[in-house]
Amino acid sequence: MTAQSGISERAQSALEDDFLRQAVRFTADRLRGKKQVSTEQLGNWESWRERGQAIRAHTIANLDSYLAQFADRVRQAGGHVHFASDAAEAVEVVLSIARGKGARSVVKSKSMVSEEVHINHHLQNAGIEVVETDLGEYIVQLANETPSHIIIPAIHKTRAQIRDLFTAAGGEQLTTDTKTLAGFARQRLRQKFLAADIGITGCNFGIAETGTVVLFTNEGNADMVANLPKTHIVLMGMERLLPTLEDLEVFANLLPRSATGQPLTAYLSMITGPRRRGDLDGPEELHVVVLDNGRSRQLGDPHFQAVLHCIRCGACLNVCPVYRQIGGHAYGSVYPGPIGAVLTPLLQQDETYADLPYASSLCGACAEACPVKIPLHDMLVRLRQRRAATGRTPALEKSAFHAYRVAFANHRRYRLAFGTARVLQRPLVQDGGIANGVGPLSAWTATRYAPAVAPRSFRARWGELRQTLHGPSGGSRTSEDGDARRQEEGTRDA
Amino acid sequence: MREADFLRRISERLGRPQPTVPPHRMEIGAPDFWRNPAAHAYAPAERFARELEQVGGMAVSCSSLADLRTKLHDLLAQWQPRRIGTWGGNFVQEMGLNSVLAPYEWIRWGDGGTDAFAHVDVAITGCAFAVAGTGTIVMESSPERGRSVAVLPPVHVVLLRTSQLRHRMGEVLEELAQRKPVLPASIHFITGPSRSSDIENDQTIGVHGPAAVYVLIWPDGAGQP
Ligand code: SF4
Repeated sequence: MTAQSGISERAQSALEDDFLRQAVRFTADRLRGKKQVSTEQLGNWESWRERGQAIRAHTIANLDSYLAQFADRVRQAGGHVHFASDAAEAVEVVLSIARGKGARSVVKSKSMVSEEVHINHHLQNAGIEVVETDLGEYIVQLANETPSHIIIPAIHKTRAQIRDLFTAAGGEQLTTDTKTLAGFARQRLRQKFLAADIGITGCNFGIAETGTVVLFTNEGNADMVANLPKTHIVLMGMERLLPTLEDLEVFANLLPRSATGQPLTAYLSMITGPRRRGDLDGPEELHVVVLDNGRSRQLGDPHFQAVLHCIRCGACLNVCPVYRQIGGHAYGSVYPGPIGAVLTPLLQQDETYADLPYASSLCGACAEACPVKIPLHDMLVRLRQRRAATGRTPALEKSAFHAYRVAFANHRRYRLAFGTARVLQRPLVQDGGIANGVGPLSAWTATRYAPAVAPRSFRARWGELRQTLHGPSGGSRTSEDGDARRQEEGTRDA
Repeated sequence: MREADFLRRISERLGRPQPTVPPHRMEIGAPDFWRNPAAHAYAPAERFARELEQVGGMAVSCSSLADLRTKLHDLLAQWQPRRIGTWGGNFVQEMGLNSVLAPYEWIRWGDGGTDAFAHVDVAITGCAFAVAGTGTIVMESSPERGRSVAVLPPVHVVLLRTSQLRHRMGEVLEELAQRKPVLPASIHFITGPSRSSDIENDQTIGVHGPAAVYVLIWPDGAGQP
């Protein structure tokens, strides 16, 4: 049985790409470090998380009410609201608006929902030029690729590659220094903003009480996308609401800190309806497309409703040992990392992504990092169980998974199992990956590509990580962690 | 899909009829400790300056409006911009900037289309609020205060009265929530210059929006810095 989404093959090639691996780790570490500093500076991080979780849980539990209110307020402010039950309907709404305007060019700012419905592809098929204007997305688009991180889409590209892409796009005598490259993008994209017929953005939050669309960005491109073209289309997942403006303060503290470690992004833009009478800029028309696409199926599900609390910060990616090894593309899905491994098979409940929940070590770091306390690792386990219960898991995988889970179920055994694996794998490690596993891991690696166990195992770094997440007073250091570290040092010396 | 069907599907999944009254809430907005003024016991003007500089912006403290004009004059003399763009309406007169701007080519918002601002080197505006805790300025759109004024030019100069300073974002949001019947079409919280880390994690400023943000703060008597 082959992996449906092909994650094992892509993980293999990701592991062979040294730059990618380094870049992913470097980025993840940097973001994680900055997050730590900025959450410590804020203080009371646990209380903020709890408040964030409470607000998201309340909103999702009353989503019908808030969505109705939001739609009313958007219309009251002069905007249009469209409801799309799936990707095809969302695409049709956008295409019909574009056709109605005779649009020839569209500028976009980064939006995961637009990736989810593959809007670029459909617009281009309709003969409409689509330009991504977020610097990272622009690079990814020129390379004909998809984002590898939900916050920093082009982390897998080197500056030399970026220079080559920009040169192919018409840049002359470009060097590889950041200023020159960014300068080219600024100039080129400025022309695109001013000429575009339609701007498409996502939506970080919709405020129900005011009908406001809120965007958090750093570059300023979303503002140009939203303000300069005559028509602004907002693509938003239906769960993206907050009841009141006051609630936004909580998420203005949680989201940027969790995503990039910034106290606040450079721009927080609140858009309420199209331009008003007498305004000289701002869109003449504002369309908000509210997308379901499998989300409503999670409502009422005691185990998975909380996945809709997600605020798409990417913090779970940055701490995930699997993501750090293989990068975003290996998942083959729009949403990578732990959230992607949970959300993707939930949104698309066929065989395509059924193997994604296995791309996890179930270490729980994702849930610890999540600013709205989504129990991602519990969900991963349940998804695996759900799949096993349908009998679709091959016998081989079942036994391997069983061994894996037994090991994870007990800290001590986990440590021992990995300690053993680390010793045993030594002759087998190639380019940082394990070609063929040994012992309990061998069956697993026959169908999945097991990331090499880090020189110091994740378990051994767990104590440090807990400290990172909870601060030194977290009290979660146990003597077992200390043992692990000592044992770890011994192993390395050996 | 029809809105009614879309919403009905949500209610059905949630396992109850569609609500007719607004949901009851216990926890709204920031936690209590954050709302407590004791958590923000600092001088807002100083804190604002520190936070702004932390993110690559510049705060210039002025002792009076006259002092502000002098400092603005000096900054412009240093930059020698080819074109300056300001808010429209009476902004320049009210701030008494006519003579400061006189040596330069300058346009007001409304003196031409948005395109006219595409070639402005320095934008000069006021703001609606500022948030001390994060070094943030808040801009609201109106016919005389276009959204593009603060975003298109490479340099943005903001004239901030101390009475416009708040400690935290929530205070601004509470005041905005009182606006009826609708909010301004665009409200913009700006914290420092435009930036990106998309090229090999190397931070660069001024990718799309301004590369430099200068905030000139002057005491207008209505509030203490
Ligand atoms: S699951 Fe949590 S940590 Fe991951 S992206 Fe969503 S909100 Fe962020």
